[in-house]
Amino acid sequence: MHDENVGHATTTGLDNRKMLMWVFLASDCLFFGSLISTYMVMRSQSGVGPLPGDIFDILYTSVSAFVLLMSSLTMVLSLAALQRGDHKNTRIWLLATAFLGAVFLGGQYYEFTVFVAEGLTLSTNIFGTTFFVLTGFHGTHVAIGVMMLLSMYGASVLGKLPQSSSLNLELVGLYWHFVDIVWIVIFTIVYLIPS
Amino acid sequence: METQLATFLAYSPLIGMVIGMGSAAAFLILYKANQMRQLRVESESSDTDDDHPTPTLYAQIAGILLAITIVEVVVVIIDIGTLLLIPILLILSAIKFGFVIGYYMHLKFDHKLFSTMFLGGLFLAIGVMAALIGLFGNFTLPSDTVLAESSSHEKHHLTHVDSPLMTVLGLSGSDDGHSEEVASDSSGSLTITSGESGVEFAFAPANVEVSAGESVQLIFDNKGTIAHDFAIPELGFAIESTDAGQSGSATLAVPATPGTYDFICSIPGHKEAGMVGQIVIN
Repeated sequence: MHDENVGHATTTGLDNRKMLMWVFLASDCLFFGSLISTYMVMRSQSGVGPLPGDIFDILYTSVSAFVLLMSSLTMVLSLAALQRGDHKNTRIWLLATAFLGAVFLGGQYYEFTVFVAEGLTLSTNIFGTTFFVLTGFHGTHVAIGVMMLLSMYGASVLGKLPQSSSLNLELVGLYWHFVDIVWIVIFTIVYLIPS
Repeated sequence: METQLATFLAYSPLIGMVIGMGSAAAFLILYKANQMRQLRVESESSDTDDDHPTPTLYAQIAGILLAITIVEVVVVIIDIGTLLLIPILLILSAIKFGFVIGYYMHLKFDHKLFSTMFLGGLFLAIGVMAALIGLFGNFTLPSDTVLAESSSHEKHHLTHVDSPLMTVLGLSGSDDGHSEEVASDSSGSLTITSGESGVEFAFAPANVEVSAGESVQLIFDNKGTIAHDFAIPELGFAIESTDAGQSGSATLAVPATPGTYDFICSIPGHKEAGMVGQIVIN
């Protein structure tokens, strides 16, 4: 196996860091899976409103889902650029990805503000509790991802992200795409299905 | 709304199968693609960058993802009916999921072991979700179905359920829809239940009326699955913690002045979860 990023020899011939990232993402599936099923089980148990149908704005959330999807595109473009040795484009796409991630977070912040204004808080009812815990947990993932992207950008500017260590960016990319696919699931199950 | 719920109930096993089959198919496709790729790598030896996705392909995939998202939203907005809606949405999001992990996350082109690791965790997660939902059996579509009160308590009329309570599946026996509930009666006793129709954190009736100055025997009947209590904090009245399936009672000396008071379950968190109602003194 030829691999441009082999840290040291492993029994599988695969880089341990990449394996670690995949195992971590697999375990994160379980975390999100539990939160999503808790939401599904509990959302209709609330005795008091507001309820999902009262406050969700599908079009608004579709736009933020779209923003996050597009950030996955800019992420792969950034990695592809680094693998070609094109540092200028690596940085441009990295910044674009971080920017889209920040837009998503801003959108979520605004959405939460609107919901709270309409009377849904973490403690209003069990729908609010499970909804905010699930989407807040995802938002935290996005925020961590944005920090990782910005540190990659910083490393690139300082010349510490050479073509030979593109695996570092690939790992950040895997995490970022994972955050995106989790949102694909949340968007469908939490937002689209109830209406 | 009741019918929508019923259809959803009837189709939930099917939806489970669709998810399962979709995941299995995705796994097979990835597995197959990997096998083929490895064969090709072996025969072609070195130059493997041919099947590596190009930025153009990435952009095309983004176009597909966007198109699917638009279809999903349109399908929801034009309201094609729950029966079709849920399977369609699940399949579409599974396709998006597959594109992102296959191409953007490179699983399709990477070593099989990565796919095994990730899909293993994913299937485990799907299994956990299926188990949780199966155990609690409450995956339901929100609707404005009003909690139906089964009036097994002879003497009492039913009162109005004020909050938009939602029926929970599993206990679909009650189909009498909106029923006005009452509370008080001439015998001077009043029964309030919790856990009615599977809604754990709510009182039924949630709105009761009593006459000023009289003495009322309050019976709290806990039909839920965990312990609750009944308290009117402003009047210093309480019926102590009652285990699931038990009932408790106490006599309430109604104040002589008309007013409205909240009654709650005082176990921490229960009031916030919806166990709050109002008692009106006339």
